[in-house]
Amino acid sequence: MKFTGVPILVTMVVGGVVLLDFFVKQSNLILLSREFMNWGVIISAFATGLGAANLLRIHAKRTQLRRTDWWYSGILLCVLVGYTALGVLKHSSSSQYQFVFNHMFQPLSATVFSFNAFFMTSAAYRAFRVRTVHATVLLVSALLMMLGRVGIGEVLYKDMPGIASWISRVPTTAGFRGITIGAALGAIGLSLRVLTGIERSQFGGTGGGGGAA
Amino acid sequence: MNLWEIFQNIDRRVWYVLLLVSLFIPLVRPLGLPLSIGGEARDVYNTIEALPAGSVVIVSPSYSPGTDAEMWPQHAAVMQHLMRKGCKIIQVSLALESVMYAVRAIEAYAPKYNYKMGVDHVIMPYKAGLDVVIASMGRDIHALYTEDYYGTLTSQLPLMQSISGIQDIALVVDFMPGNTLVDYIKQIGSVYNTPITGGVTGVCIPTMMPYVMSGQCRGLLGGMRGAAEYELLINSPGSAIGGMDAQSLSHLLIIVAIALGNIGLVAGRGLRKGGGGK
Repeated sequence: MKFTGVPILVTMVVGGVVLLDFFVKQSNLILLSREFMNWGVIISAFATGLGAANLLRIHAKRTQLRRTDWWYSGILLCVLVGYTALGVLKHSSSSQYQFVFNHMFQPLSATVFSFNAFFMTSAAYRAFRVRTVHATVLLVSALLMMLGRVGIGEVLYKDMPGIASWISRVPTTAGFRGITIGAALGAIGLSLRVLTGIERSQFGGTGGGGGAA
Repeated sequence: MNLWEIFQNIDRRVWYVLLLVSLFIPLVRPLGLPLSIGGEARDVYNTIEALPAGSVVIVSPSYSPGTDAEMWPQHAAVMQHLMRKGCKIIQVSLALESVMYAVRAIEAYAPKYNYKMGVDHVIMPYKAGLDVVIASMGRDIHALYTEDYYGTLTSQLPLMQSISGIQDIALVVDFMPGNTLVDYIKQIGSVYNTPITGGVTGVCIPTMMPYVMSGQCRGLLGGMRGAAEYELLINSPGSAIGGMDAQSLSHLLIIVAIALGNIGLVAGRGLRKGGGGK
Protein backbone atom coordinates (compact mmCIF):
# COMPACT_ATOMS: atom_id res chain seq x y z
CA MET A 1 0.00 0.00 0.00
CA LYS A 2 1.43 3.36 -1.02
CA PHE A 3 1.43 6.34 1.33
CA THR A 4 -0.87 8.71 -0.53
CA GLY A 5 -2.80 10.29 2.35
CA VAL A 6 -0.75 13.52 2.56
CA PRO A 7 -0.70 14.24 -1.22
CA ILE A 8 -4.47 13.65 -1.37
CA LEU A 9 -5.00 16.01 1.56
CA VAL A 10 -2.79 18.67 -0.05
CA THR A 11 -4.70 18.27 -3.32
CA MET A 12 -8.05 18.60 -1.52
CA VAL A 13 -7.04 21.72 0.40
CA VAL A 14 -5.26 23.53 -2.47
CA GLY A 15 -7.85 22.57 -5.09
CA GLY A 16 -10.72 23.37 -2.73
CA VAL A 17 -9.36 26.84 -1.89
CA VAL A 18 -8.70 27.79 -5.53
CA LEU A 19 -12.11 26.47 -6.55
CA LEU A 20 -13.91 28.28 -3.71
CA ASP A 21 -12.16 31.53 -4.65
CA PHE A 22 -14.17 31.57 -7.88
CA PHE A 23 -17.47 31.55 -5.98
CA VAL A 24 -16.80 33.20 -2.60
CA LYS A 25 -15.23 36.67 -2.46
CA GLN A 26 -13.57 36.59 0.96
CA SER A 27 -10.29 38.50 1.42
CA ASN A 28 -8.35 35.77 3.27
CA LEU A 29 -9.50 33.18 0.76
CA ILE A 30 -8.40 35.41 -2.13
CA LEU A 31 -4.96 35.93 -0.56
CA LEU A 32 -4.53 32.22 0.09
CA SER A 33 -5.65 31.39 -3.43
CA ARG A 34 -3.16 33.89 -4.95
CA GLU A 35 -0.41 32.35 -2.86
CA PHE A 36 -1.29 28.85 -4.07
CA MET A 37 -1.30 30.10 -7.68
CA ASN A 38 2.19 31.54 -7.25
CA TRP A 39 3.32 28.23 -5.78
CA GLY A 40 1.95 26.59 -8.92
CA VAL A 41 4.17 28.79 -11.10
CA ILE A 42 7.20 28.00 -8.90
CA ILE A 43 6.49 24.26 -8.99
CA SER A 44 6.14 24.42 -12.81
CA ALA A 45 9.52 26.18 -13.05
CA PHE A 46 11.03 23.57 -10.75
CA ALA A 47 9.56 20.78 -12.90
CA THR A 48 11.19 22.35 -15.99
CA GLY A 49 14.55 22.38 -14.17
CA LEU A 50 14.01 18.81 -13.04
CA GLY A 51 13.32 17.81 -16.66
CA ALA A 52 16.59 19.42 -17.79
CA ALA A 53 18.50 17.70 -14.96
CA ASN A 54 16.97 14.34 -15.91
CA LEU A 55 17.90 14.90 -19.56
CA LEU A 56 21.45 15.67 -18.48
CA ARG A 57 21.64 12.52 -16.33
CA ILE A 58 20.28 10.16 -19.01
CA HIS A 59 22.46 11.47 -21.83
CA ALA A 60 25.58 11.72 -19.65
CA LYS A 61 25.14 8.02 -18.85
CA ARG A 62 24.60 7.14 -22.53
CA THR A 63 27.73 9.03 -23.49
CA GLN A 64 29.76 7.52 -20.65
CA LEU A 65 28.75 3.94 -21.54
CA ARG A 66 29.28 4.57 -25.31
CA ARG A 67 25.83 3.20 -26.17
CA THR A 68 24.57 3.12 -29.79
CA ASP A 69 24.64 6.61 -31.36
CA TRP A 70 26.15 7.99 -28.16
CA TRP A 71 27.60 10.95 -30.06
CA TYR A 72 24.10 12.39 -30.49
CA SER A 73 23.82 12.42 -26.71
CA GLY A 74 27.25 14.06 -26.56
CA ILE A 75 26.13 16.84 -28.92
CA LEU A 76 22.97 17.31 -26.87
CA LEU A 77 25.03 17.64 -23.69
CA CYS A 78 27.41 20.17 -25.26
CA VAL A 79 24.54 22.31 -26.53
CA LEU A 80 22.54 22.02 -23.29
CA VAL A 81 25.46 22.97 -21.07
CA GLY A 82 26.95 25.54 -23.47
CA TYR A 83 23.71 27.41 -24.16
CA THR A 84 22.69 27.35 -20.49
CA ALA A 85 26.12 28.72 -19.52
CA LEU A 86 25.81 31.45 -22.15
CA GLY A 87 22.38 32.42 -20.80
CA VAL A 88 23.56 32.43 -17.18
CA LEU A 89 26.85 34.26 -17.76
CA LYS A 90 25.76 36.74 -20.44
CA HIS A 91 21.93 36.81 -19.93
CA SER A 92 19.49 35.75 -22.58
CA SER A 93 19.16 39.34 -23.84
CA SER A 94 22.85 39.41 -24.82
CA SER A 95 23.80 39.60 -28.48
CA GLN A 96 25.72 36.29 -28.26
CA TYR A 97 22.70 34.40 -26.87
CA GLN A 98 20.40 35.98 -29.45
CA PHE A 99 22.86 35.19 -32.24
CA VAL A 100 22.70 31.46 -31.40
CA PHE A 101 18.90 31.63 -31.22
CA ASN A 102 18.35 33.69 -34.38
CA HIS A 103 21.01 32.09 -36.58
CA MET A 104 21.12 28.48 -35.37
CA PHE A 105 18.16 27.34 -33.31
CA GLN A 106 15.45 29.27 -35.16
CA PRO A 107 16.43 28.18 -38.72
CA LEU A 108 17.06 24.57 -37.63
CA SER A 109 13.75 24.33 -35.81
CA ALA A 110 11.83 25.95 -38.68
CA THR A 111 13.53 23.61 -41.18
CA VAL A 112 12.58 20.49 -39.23
CA PHE A 113 8.98 21.74 -38.95
CA SER A 114 8.85 22.57 -42.67
CA PHE A 115 9.51 18.91 -43.52
CA ASN A 116 5.84 18.43 -42.64
CA ALA A 117 4.85 20.14 -45.91
CA PHE A 118 6.63 17.41 -47.90
CA PHE A 119 5.23 14.56 -45.83
CA MET A 120 1.74 16.07 -45.99
CA THR A 121 1.85 16.35 -49.78
CA SER A 122 2.86 12.70 -50.09
CA ALA A 123 0.33 11.61 -47.44
CA ALA A 124 -2.52 13.61 -49.04
CA TYR A 125 -1.76 11.98 -52.40
CA ARG A 126 -1.92 8.49 -50.90
CA ALA A 127 -4.72 8.92 -48.33
CA PHE A 128 -7.33 11.10 -50.04
CA ARG A 129 -8.95 8.48 -52.25
CA VAL A 130 -12.69 8.24 -52.97
CA ARG A 131 -13.07 4.69 -51.63
CA THR A 132 -16.15 5.32 -49.44
CA VAL A 133 -18.86 7.99 -49.07
CA HIS A 134 -17.21 9.27 -45.86
CA ALA A 135 -13.83 9.53 -47.58
CA THR A 136 -15.46 11.44 -50.44
CA VAL A 137 -17.09 13.95 -48.07
CA LEU A 138 -13.73 14.43 -46.34
CA LEU A 139 -11.97 14.85 -49.67
CA VAL A 140 -14.44 17.41 -51.03
CA SER A 141 -14.41 19.52 -47.85
CA ALA A 142 -10.60 19.36 -47.70
CA LEU A 143 -10.34 20.53 -51.32
CA LEU A 144 -12.76 23.40 -50.72
CA MET A 145 -10.86 24.45 -47.58
CA MET A 146 -7.50 24.29 -49.33
CA LEU A 147 -8.73 26.39 -52.26
CA GLY A 148 -10.65 28.79 -50.03
CA ARG A 149 -7.60 29.61 -47.90
CA VAL A 150 -5.36 30.73 -50.78
CA GLY A 151 -5.48 33.35 -53.50
CA ILE A 152 -5.62 30.87 -56.36
CA GLY A 153 -9.04 29.72 -55.07
CA GLU A 154 -10.36 33.23 -55.64
CA VAL A 155 -8.96 33.22 -59.16
CA LEU A 156 -10.81 29.98 -59.93
CA TYR A 157 -14.07 31.04 -58.25
CA LYS A 158 -14.56 34.37 -56.53
CA ASP A 159 -16.82 33.01 -53.75
CA MET A 160 -14.38 30.25 -52.77
CA PRO A 161 -13.23 32.02 -49.54
CA GLY A 162 -16.90 32.37 -48.55
CA ILE A 163 -17.46 28.64 -49.00
CA ALA A 164 -14.38 27.83 -46.91
CA SER A 165 -15.51 30.30 -44.27
CA TRP A 166 -18.97 28.67 -44.14
CA ILE A 167 -17.42 25.21 -43.66
CA SER A 168 -15.27 26.62 -40.88
CA ARG A 169 -18.05 28.60 -39.19
CA VAL A 170 -20.96 26.16 -39.40
CA PRO A 171 -20.26 22.38 -39.61
CA THR A 172 -16.75 22.55 -38.13
CA THR A 173 -17.84 24.80 -35.27
CA ALA A 174 -20.84 22.59 -34.54
CA GLY A 175 -18.62 19.50 -34.36
CA PHE A 176 -15.92 21.14 -32.28
CA ARG A 177 -18.43 22.68 -29.90
CA GLY A 178 -19.80 19.22 -29.15
CA ILE A 179 -16.29 17.85 -28.60
CA THR A 180 -15.38 20.83 -26.37
CA ILE A 181 -18.48 20.50 -24.21
CA GLY A 182 -17.95 16.75 -23.89
CA ALA A 183 -14.29 17.24 -22.95
CA ALA A 184 -15.23 19.94 -20.41
CA LEU A 185 -17.77 17.63 -18.75
CA GLY A 186 -15.11 14.92 -18.62
CA ALA A 187 -12.60 17.39 -17.13
CA ILE A 188 -15.09 18.41 -14.42
CA GLY A 189 -15.71 14.76 -13.55
CA LEU A 190 -11.99 13.98 -13.45
CA SER A 191 -11.25 17.10 -11.36
CA LEU A 192 -13.89 16.08 -8.81
CA ARG A 193 -12.42 12.57 -8.65
CA VAL A 194 -8.92 14.02 -8.06
CA LEU A 195 -10.16 16.52 -5.46
CA THR A 196 -12.05 13.87 -3.52
CA GLY A 197 -9.16 11.40 -3.70
CA ILE A 198 -11.00 8.82 -5.80
CA GLU A 199 -8.64 9.24 -8.77
CA ARG A 200 -5.08 8.21 -7.82
CA SER A 201 -3.39 7.48 -11.13
CA GLN A 202 -1.22 10.59 -10.62
CA PHE A 203 0.59 8.67 -7.87
CA GLY A 204 1.72 6.04 -10.36
CA GLY A 205 -1.06 3.50 -9.80
CA THR A 206 -3.85 2.43 -12.10
CA GLY A 207 -6.33 5.01 -10.77
CA GLY A 208 -9.94 4.60 -9.81
CA GLY A 209 -10.95 2.25 -7.06
CA GLY A 210 -12.13 4.60 -4.40
CA GLY A 211 -10.59 2.59 -1.56
CA ALA A 212 -8.82 4.09 1.43
CA ALA A 213 -5.19 5.10 1.19
CA MET B 1 1.72 -1.11 -65.17
CA ASN B 2 -0.93 0.82 -67.13
CA LEU B 3 -1.44 4.62 -67.05
CA TRP B 4 -4.05 4.50 -64.25
CA GLU B 5 -1.75 2.48 -62.05
CA ILE B 6 1.07 4.95 -62.72
CA PHE B 7 -1.27 7.78 -61.61
CA GLN B 8 -1.84 5.94 -58.33
CA ASN B 9 1.78 5.11 -57.63
CA ILE B 10 3.83 8.22 -58.37
CA ASP B 11 7.00 8.13 -56.30
CA ARG B 12 6.93 10.44 -53.27
CA ARG B 13 10.27 11.97 -54.30
CA VAL B 14 8.58 13.36 -57.44
CA TRP B 15 6.10 15.20 -55.20
CA TYR B 16 8.92 16.45 -52.98
CA VAL B 17 10.71 18.00 -55.97
CA LEU B 18 7.51 19.49 -57.41
CA LEU B 19 6.61 20.95 -54.01
CA LEU B 20 10.04 22.49 -53.67
CA VAL B 21 9.70 24.08 -57.12
CA SER B 22 6.13 25.30 -56.43
CA LEU B 23 7.32 26.96 -53.21
CA PHE B 24 10.47 28.43 -54.71
CA ILE B 25 9.13 30.05 -57.90
CA PRO B 26 6.58 32.44 -56.27
CA LEU B 27 9.15 33.48 -53.68
CA VAL B 28 11.50 34.53 -56.48
CA ARG B 29 8.81 35.86 -58.86
CA PRO B 30 5.62 36.81 -56.95
CA LEU B 31 2.43 36.02 -58.85
CA GLY B 32 0.30 38.78 -57.32
CA LEU B 33 -2.74 36.57 -56.73
CA PRO B 34 -5.81 38.31 -55.25
CA LEU B 35 -6.50 38.18 -51.52
CA SER B 36 -9.83 39.15 -49.96
CA ILE B 37 -10.10 40.09 -46.29
CA GLY B 38 -12.14 37.71 -44.14
CA GLY B 39 -14.50 38.63 -41.32
CA GLU B 40 -12.36 37.18 -38.54
CA ALA B 41 -9.28 39.28 -39.41
CA ARG B 42 -11.45 42.37 -39.77
CA ASP B 43 -12.89 41.73 -36.28
CA VAL B 44 -9.38 41.69 -34.79
CA TYR B 45 -8.58 44.92 -36.65
CA ASN B 46 -11.79 46.64 -35.50
CA THR B 47 -11.20 45.55 -31.89
CA ILE B 48 -7.74 47.16 -31.87
CA GLU B 49 -8.90 50.15 -33.89
CA ALA B 50 -11.56 50.87 -31.24
CA LEU B 51 -8.96 51.12 -28.43
CA PRO B 52 -8.28 54.64 -27.20
CA ALA B 53 -4.67 55.84 -27.31
CA GLY B 54 -2.81 54.93 -24.13
CA SER B 55 -4.80 51.71 -23.54
CA VAL B 56 -2.72 48.98 -21.91
CA VAL B 57 -2.67 45.77 -23.95
CA ILE B 58 -1.14 42.40 -23.07
CA VAL B 59 0.49 40.79 -26.11
CA SER B 60 1.39 37.17 -25.58
CA PRO B 61 3.62 35.58 -28.22
CA SER B 62 3.30 31.93 -27.17
CA TYR B 63 4.95 30.35 -30.17
CA SER B 64 8.30 28.79 -30.97
CA PRO B 65 10.51 28.77 -34.11
CA GLY B 66 8.68 25.77 -35.61
CA THR B 67 5.64 27.95 -36.29
CA ASP B 68 7.60 31.13 -36.95
CA ALA B 69 6.50 31.38 -40.61
CA GLU B 70 2.83 31.65 -39.67
CA MET B 71 2.99 33.32 -36.26
CA TRP B 72 5.67 35.99 -36.60
CA PRO B 73 3.92 37.91 -39.44
CA GLN B 74 0.72 37.99 -37.32
CA HIS B 75 2.65 39.17 -34.27
CA ALA B 76 4.57 41.79 -36.26
CA ALA B 77 1.44 43.18 -37.94
CA VAL B 78 -0.53 43.47 -34.68
CA MET B 79 2.44 45.09 -32.89
CA GLN B 80 2.66 47.71 -35.64
CA HIS B 81 -1.06 48.41 -35.39
CA LEU B 82 -0.92 48.74 -31.58
CA MET B 83 2.05 51.09 -31.76
CA ARG B 84 0.39 53.15 -34.46
CA LYS B 85 -2.62 53.47 -32.15
CA GLY B 86 -0.39 54.57 -29.26
CA CYS B 87 -1.29 51.63 -27.01
CA LYS B 88 0.97 50.63 -24.12
CA ILE B 89 2.18 47.06 -24.57
CA ILE B 90 3.04 44.41 -21.99
CA GLN B 91 4.53 41.34 -23.70
CA VAL B 92 4.35 38.11 -21.73
CA SER B 93 5.84 34.79 -22.84
CA LEU B 94 4.26 31.42 -22.13
CA ALA B 95 6.63 29.40 -24.32
CA LEU B 96 10.32 29.15 -23.51
CA GLU B 97 11.51 30.54 -26.83
CA SER B 98 8.77 33.11 -27.34
CA VAL B 99 10.48 35.83 -25.30
CA MET B 100 12.96 36.09 -28.17
CA TYR B 101 10.08 37.05 -30.47
CA ALA B 102 8.94 39.68 -27.99
CA VAL B 103 12.45 41.16 -28.12
CA ARG B 104 12.51 40.89 -31.91
CA ALA B 105 9.20 42.75 -32.25
CA ILE B 106 10.44 45.57 -30.06
CA GLU B 107 13.77 45.82 -31.87
CA ALA B 108 11.93 45.88 -35.21
CA TYR B 109 9.25 48.48 -34.47
CA ALA B 110 9.95 50.41 -31.24
CA PRO B 111 12.49 52.80 -32.84
CA LYS B 112 10.04 53.68 -35.65
CA TYR B 113 7.22 54.56 -33.24
CA ASN B 114 9.56 55.96 -30.55
CA TYR B 115 8.46 53.41 -27.95
CA LYS B 116 10.42 53.57 -24.72
CA MET B 117 11.08 50.56 -22.53
CA GLY B 118 9.25 50.68 -19.21
CA VAL B 119 7.13 53.63 -20.32
CA ASP B 120 5.41 52.48 -23.51
CA HIS B 121 6.24 48.80 -23.43
CA VAL B 122 7.50 46.08 -21.11
CA ILE B 123 8.80 42.59 -21.85
CA MET B 124 8.15 40.09 -19.09
CA PRO B 125 10.33 37.03 -18.59
CA TYR B 126 9.22 33.49 -19.41
CA LYS B 127 7.21 31.78 -16.69
CA ALA B 128 6.52 28.05 -16.77
CA GLY B 129 3.03 26.73 -16.10
CA LEU B 130 0.83 27.91 -19.00
CA ASP B 131 -2.73 28.20 -17.63
CA VAL B 132 -1.45 28.51 -14.05
CA VAL B 133 0.57 31.55 -15.17
CA ILE B 134 -2.47 32.99 -16.95
CA ALA B 135 -4.63 32.48 -13.86
CA SER B 136 -1.94 34.11 -11.69
CA MET B 137 -1.78 37.00 -14.13
CA GLY B 138 -5.47 37.55 -13.57
CA ARG B 139 -5.23 37.32 -9.78
CA ASP B 140 -2.17 39.55 -9.29
CA ILE B 141 0.05 40.52 -12.21
CA HIS B 142 2.42 42.48 -9.94
CA ALA B 143 3.06 39.46 -7.71
CA LEU B 144 3.64 37.25 -10.75
CA TYR B 145 6.09 39.58 -12.46
CA THR B 146 8.33 41.30 -9.93
CA GLU B 147 11.07 41.89 -12.54
CA ASP B 148 10.95 42.45 -16.28
CA TYR B 149 13.00 40.45 -18.79
CA TYR B 150 16.02 42.72 -18.29
CA GLY B 151 15.93 42.38 -14.49
CA THR B 152 14.41 45.80 -13.69
CA LEU B 153 11.94 45.77 -10.82
CA THR B 154 8.47 46.14 -12.31
CA SER B 155 7.49 48.36 -9.37
CA GLN B 156 9.91 50.94 -10.81
CA LEU B 157 8.44 50.88 -14.32
CA PRO B 158 5.97 53.70 -15.08
CA LEU B 159 3.87 51.43 -17.28
CA MET B 160 3.43 48.85 -14.52
CA GLN B 161 2.79 51.58 -11.95
CA SER B 162 -0.09 52.81 -14.11
CA ILE B 163 -2.04 49.55 -13.75
CA SER B 164 -3.43 48.07 -10.57
CA GLY B 165 -4.40 44.72 -12.03
CA ILE B 166 -6.02 42.86 -14.89
CA GLN B 167 -9.06 45.18 -14.74
CA ASP B 168 -6.86 47.93 -16.26
CA ILE B 169 -5.98 45.80 -19.27
CA ALA B 170 -7.99 46.86 -22.33
CA LEU B 171 -7.22 43.80 -24.45
CA VAL B 172 -5.24 40.55 -24.46
CA VAL B 173 -3.78 39.43 -27.81
CA ASP B 174 -2.32 35.92 -27.84
CA PHE B 175 -0.43 34.24 -30.68
CA MET B 176 -0.47 30.52 -30.19
CA PRO B 177 0.16 27.28 -32.03
CA GLY B 178 -1.24 25.37 -29.02
CA ASN B 179 -3.95 26.02 -26.51
CA THR B 180 -3.02 29.24 -24.70
CA LEU B 181 -5.67 31.37 -26.40
CA VAL B 182 -8.35 29.08 -24.95
CA ASP B 183 -6.61 29.34 -21.56
CA TYR B 184 -6.75 33.16 -21.76
CA ILE B 185 -10.46 32.97 -22.54
CA LYS B 186 -11.08 30.59 -19.62
CA GLN B 187 -8.85 32.19 -17.00
CA ILE B 188 -9.10 35.90 -17.89
CA GLY B 189 -11.82 36.60 -20.48
CA SER B 190 -14.57 34.68 -18.71
CA VAL B 191 -13.56 35.69 -15.16
CA TYR B 192 -12.67 39.40 -15.56
CA ASN B 193 -14.54 40.25 -18.80
CA THR B 194 -11.27 41.34 -20.42
CA PRO B 195 -11.57 41.25 -24.22
CA ILE B 196 -9.45 38.50 -25.77
CA THR B 197 -8.30 38.12 -29.35
CA GLY B 198 -5.34 36.56 -31.14
CA GLY B 199 -3.86 34.52 -33.89
CA VAL B 200 -3.35 30.80 -34.43
CA THR B 201 -1.68 28.47 -36.91
CA GLY B 202 -3.83 27.21 -39.77
CA VAL B 203 -4.41 23.80 -38.17
CA CYS B 204 -5.72 25.39 -34.95
CA ILE B 205 -8.51 27.38 -36.64
CA PRO B 206 -11.22 24.69 -36.10
CA THR B 207 -10.35 24.52 -32.38
CA MET B 208 -10.87 28.25 -32.00
CA MET B 209 -13.96 28.78 -34.17
CA PRO B 210 -16.51 27.95 -31.40
CA TYR B 211 -14.95 30.71 -29.27
CA VAL B 212 -14.95 33.16 -32.18
CA MET B 213 -18.57 32.41 -33.05
CA SER B 214 -19.66 32.84 -29.42
CA GLY B 215 -17.87 36.21 -29.21
CA GLN B 216 -15.51 35.03 -26.46
CA CYS B 217 -12.65 35.60 -28.89
CA ARG B 218 -12.90 38.94 -30.73
CA GLY B 219 -11.96 37.76 -34.20
CA LEU B 220 -9.07 35.53 -35.17
CA LEU B 221 -6.02 35.59 -37.39
CA GLY B 222 -5.71 32.16 -38.94
CA GLY B 223 -2.34 31.03 -40.26
CA MET B 224 -0.39 32.88 -42.89
CA ARG B 225 -3.57 34.01 -44.63
CA GLY B 226 -4.75 35.72 -41.43
CA ALA B 227 -1.42 37.51 -41.19
CA ALA B 228 -1.57 38.52 -44.88
CA GLU B 229 -5.12 39.86 -44.43
CA TYR B 230 -3.96 41.89 -41.43
CA GLU B 231 -0.99 43.28 -43.36
CA LEU B 232 -3.49 44.46 -45.98
CA LEU B 233 -5.75 45.97 -43.32
CA ILE B 234 -2.96 48.03 -41.78
CA ASN B 235 -1.53 48.76 -45.24
CA SER B 236 1.89 47.40 -44.36
CA PRO B 237 2.82 44.54 -46.72
CA GLY B 238 5.20 42.05 -45.14
CA SER B 239 6.37 38.46 -45.33
CA ALA B 240 2.85 36.98 -45.11
CA ILE B 241 1.59 38.60 -48.31
CA GLY B 242 4.82 37.47 -49.99
CA GLY B 243 4.34 33.92 -48.72
CA MET B 244 0.69 33.59 -49.82
CA ASP B 245 1.59 32.99 -53.48
CA ALA B 246 3.90 30.14 -52.46
CA GLN B 247 1.12 28.69 -50.31
CA SER B 248 -1.32 29.04 -53.24
CA LEU B 249 0.88 27.05 -55.60
CA SER B 250 1.67 24.38 -53.02
CA HIS B 251 -2.06 23.91 -52.29
CA LEU B 252 -2.68 23.68 -56.02
CA LEU B 253 0.01 21.00 -56.30
CA ILE B 254 -1.59 18.98 -53.48
CA ILE B 255 -4.96 19.25 -55.26
CA VAL B 256 -3.39 18.05 -58.52
CA ALA B 257 -1.78 15.14 -56.62
CA ILE B 258 -5.09 14.16 -55.05
CA ALA B 259 -6.88 14.48 -58.41
CA LEU B 260 -4.34 12.26 -60.20
CA GLY B 261 -4.54 9.60 -57.49
CA ASN B 262 -8.33 9.56 -57.71
CA ILE B 263 -8.49 9.61 -61.50
CA GLY B 264 -6.21 6.57 -61.45
CA LEU B 265 -8.35 4.87 -58.83
CA VAL B 266 -11.72 5.50 -60.50
CA ALA B 267 -10.51 4.81 -64.05
CA GLY B 268 -8.66 1.69 -62.93
CA ARG B 269 -11.79 0.46 -61.14
CA GLY B 270 -13.85 1.02 -64.34
CA LEU B 271 -11.27 -0.83 -66.36
CA ARG B 272 -11.35 -3.84 -64.02
CA LYS B 273 -15.19 -3.92 -64.07
CA GLY B 274 -15.12 -3.81 -67.86
CA GLY B 275 -12.64 -6.66 -67.91
CA GLY B 276 -9.81 -4.56 -69.30
CA GLY B 277 -7.53 -4.95 -66.33
CA LYS B 278 -4.61 -7.30 -65.91
